[in-house]
Amino acid sequence: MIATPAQLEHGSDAPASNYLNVNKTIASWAFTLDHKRIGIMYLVGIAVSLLLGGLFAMAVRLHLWMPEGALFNEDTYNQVFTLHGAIMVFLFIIPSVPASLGNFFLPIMLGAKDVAFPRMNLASFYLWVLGAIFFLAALLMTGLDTGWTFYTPYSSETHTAPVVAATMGVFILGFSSIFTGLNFVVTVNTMRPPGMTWFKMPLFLWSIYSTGIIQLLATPVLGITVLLLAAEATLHIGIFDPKYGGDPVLFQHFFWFYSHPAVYIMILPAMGVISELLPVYCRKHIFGYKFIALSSVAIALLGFLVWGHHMFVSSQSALATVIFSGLTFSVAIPSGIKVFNWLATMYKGNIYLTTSMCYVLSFLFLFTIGGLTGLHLGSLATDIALHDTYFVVAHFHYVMMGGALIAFIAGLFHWWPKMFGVMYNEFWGRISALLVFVGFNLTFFPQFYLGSLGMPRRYASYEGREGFPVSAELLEQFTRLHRVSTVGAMVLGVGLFIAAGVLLAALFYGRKAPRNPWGGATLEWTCATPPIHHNFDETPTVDDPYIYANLEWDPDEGGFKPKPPSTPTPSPEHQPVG
Amino acid sequence: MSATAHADEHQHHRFQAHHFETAEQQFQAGKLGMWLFLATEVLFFSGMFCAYAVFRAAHPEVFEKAAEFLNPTLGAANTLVLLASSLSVAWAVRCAQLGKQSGLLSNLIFTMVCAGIFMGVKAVEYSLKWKEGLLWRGKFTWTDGAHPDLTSTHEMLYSFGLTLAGIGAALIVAGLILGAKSVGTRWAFFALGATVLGAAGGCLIGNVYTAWEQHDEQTHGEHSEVFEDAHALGLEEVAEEEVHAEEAESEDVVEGQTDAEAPAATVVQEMAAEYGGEGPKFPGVFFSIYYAMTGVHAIHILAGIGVFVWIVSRAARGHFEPNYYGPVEYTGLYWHLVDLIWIYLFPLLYLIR
Repeated sequence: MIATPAQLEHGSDAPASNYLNVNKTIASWAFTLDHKRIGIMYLVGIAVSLLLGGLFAMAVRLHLWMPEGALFNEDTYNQVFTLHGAIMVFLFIIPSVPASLGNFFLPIMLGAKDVAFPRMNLASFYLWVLGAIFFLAALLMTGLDTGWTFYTPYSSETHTAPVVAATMGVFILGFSSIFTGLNFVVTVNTMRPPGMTWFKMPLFLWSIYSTGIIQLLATPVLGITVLLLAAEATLHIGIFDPKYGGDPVLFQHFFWFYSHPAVYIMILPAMGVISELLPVYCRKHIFGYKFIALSSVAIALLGFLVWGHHMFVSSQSALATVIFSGLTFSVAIPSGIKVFNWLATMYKGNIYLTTSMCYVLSFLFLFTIGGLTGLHLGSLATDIALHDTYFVVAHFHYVMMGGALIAFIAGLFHWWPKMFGVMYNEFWGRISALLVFVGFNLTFFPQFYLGSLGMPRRYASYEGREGFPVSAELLEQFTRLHRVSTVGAMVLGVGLFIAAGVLLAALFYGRKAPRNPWGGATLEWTCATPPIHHNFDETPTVDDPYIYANLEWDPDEGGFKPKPPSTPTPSPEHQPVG
Repeated sequence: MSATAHADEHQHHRFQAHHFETAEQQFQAGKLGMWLFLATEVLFFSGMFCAYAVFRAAHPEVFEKAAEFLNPTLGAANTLVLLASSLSVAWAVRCAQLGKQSGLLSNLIFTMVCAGIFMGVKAVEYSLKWKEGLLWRGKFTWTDGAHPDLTSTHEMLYSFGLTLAGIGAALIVAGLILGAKSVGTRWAFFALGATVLGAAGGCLIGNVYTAWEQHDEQTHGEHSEVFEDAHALGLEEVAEEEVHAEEAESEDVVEGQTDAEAPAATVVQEMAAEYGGEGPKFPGVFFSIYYAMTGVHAIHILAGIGVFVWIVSRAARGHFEPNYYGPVEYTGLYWHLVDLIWIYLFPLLYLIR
């Protein structure tokens, strides 16, 4: 690589040109094929979706402050929680880690210049934007009230226009997701650097790879399902709508054949982030590398066999129910393998409680609760009682939010210095982690209790009505628990705003980040901060990504540096000068 | 990308992207990408195959009878057309590998003409079904014994075919004019024109054939009366029939409770009882699936035509040679899959009995 004049001016030590300032026009962003810029654009879009979905969540919580419902009428309430769920699932959580952090770091971790298909990568982003616009259209048409699952006959009977807009949005977002997954699978398969065998890949890549496989194999089924659903709502093709001889249970089968694996699309990348961060902050080699790597693949494959556990009470046959219940428990094995390996990594580790690590610890705690309460729901007898109650709501928020969102934030804090070349305020970062952790448990733990008391999900009120009688004693408990949950949601919201504030403030006031502030051994820490346009001047050499003994703290730079090549007995005259 | 970066990599093939180390890596990445995309396509169609299996298992008699309304001769003709196109596209890939420019172009265009014929024949089938009211469930208005007069549809198809022929010819002329300077543009227009001419041919021949067949049937007085039992009531009675269906539904709920432990298929069986396999509009579900599957397949054919226009344009510019032919091969793989899906659709929809 020939140094540009600008580089010569600034000296070779600090490369003046990086992916952010190599070209500053708007068109250079809009038409960029650089995976890093696409990752950043995704990050912006995802953050906006999170904000929007979060505001809807706040509205839901505030509404439930009063037993009769404080803010909306029933129809509006249906629309608010539908939009919360649909936005969070389709616009935020599915693309969150892979599309932003994955896009940014997957090629860098491979020592590659870009993903295999950069144009498809950009197309994937614009499809995401287009899908989001369809969702926005459904929002403005005010009437999408089916829940994010679009069950027939709700979805074929209700206002057709927003359902069609939203399902078309889902269809387009599906393509976006498929393109991303395809890109990552091909990139990992064909573009690993010499020396990086499968079992020398960072675990983040294993999880993104497994996620890619699920995206490829599950998403098309969702595509055809929503296409048929849109046809059902507009043309009445009679495949899902019982009114026209269709089979609504078939819709549920189709829907969950995608949407259960989609749960793993959401959580696997999060697990990858955790596997990447834990050893760095414990200064210790990851424990059970192969088991963590292969358990990602196992989760991806088992995830395809358990969709029926969403339909235990949907007139599925008893035999199918028993089989699906059994298979559901089998997912606990690879998940347990991961959790125990993470704990073993921490054991006797030298743990640094940075902001990222605080979030990682939150993840371990919350994800474990989420996973364990999954067992209650996988068991047939208890699920019959708990189905469609707040217990389910609490369970999947522990897994999705306590798992995927928290890991996403952990990853953001971890990689923020590399992405933007700035350090953030650790103190406020830790405060945000604490508030999020406390607020989260305050919000969702009472919901387990609410659910076991029989509070159904998706109800706009709990004052006691025909069909849902509530005794005075129960009403008091419901009210108290809902209010605790609402207060928790406020704390959680404040925590998340502080986290966002810390990261944004770093962009303007953060001190310059060193090349390797945390002492990571994966390849992204060997490239410049922020990375140059082509990531690496020359293909880097590959080593075990979890050996930290070769790195030492350099107080001058405020980061880690590779130890000088160790000579067996360094004699005084061979000591490096300075 | 700076000029220096290019100068640095001058030894690379002109179509090798900068982020690949070697042309071989680029080819393998593209090929794997296409195979993975084909896997998603298989799963995309699998949803409809699954719906087909569920509804056929529940109502085999409906499917058998309804399928008689599809024209197996047209379906078989289209099958042959697509098989021929699969051969030619494979041949095109071989020509690209061997660097045979004219063979590459002619095979690609032959493939596109086949795609056009397929779409033309499909247009004939759809138009006639539309007129007869053999539509999806929500619009299914076929009544037996009504014998809708198809003359106007045949006339419409005749003029549609001629219009297509005109458009095809116009595209070829446009290619001569607009592509005077650019060989890529010229051949893109030629290929598209040939495709539209193929569609015109498919439409006209299919139209003549169906008109002849219908005439033949009428003169021999043979018309299938498969829905006679169900439709003896006529459309006016449909409302009444649905009331019966609702009554059956309430009975069924009681039955459903008695055998709660029956296998999953009972759900579908109950549905069959509720709505009656012989119910007046139920055959519409067969046609729902028919339109969904063949419609989505047809969209894939159209997408394939679009990609072939691009491939032909690049082939005409001499982009493909023995050490760079990836896009031809990827498109060929896609085209084989589209053919393969039709190979399943044809017997499953047209040849049930």
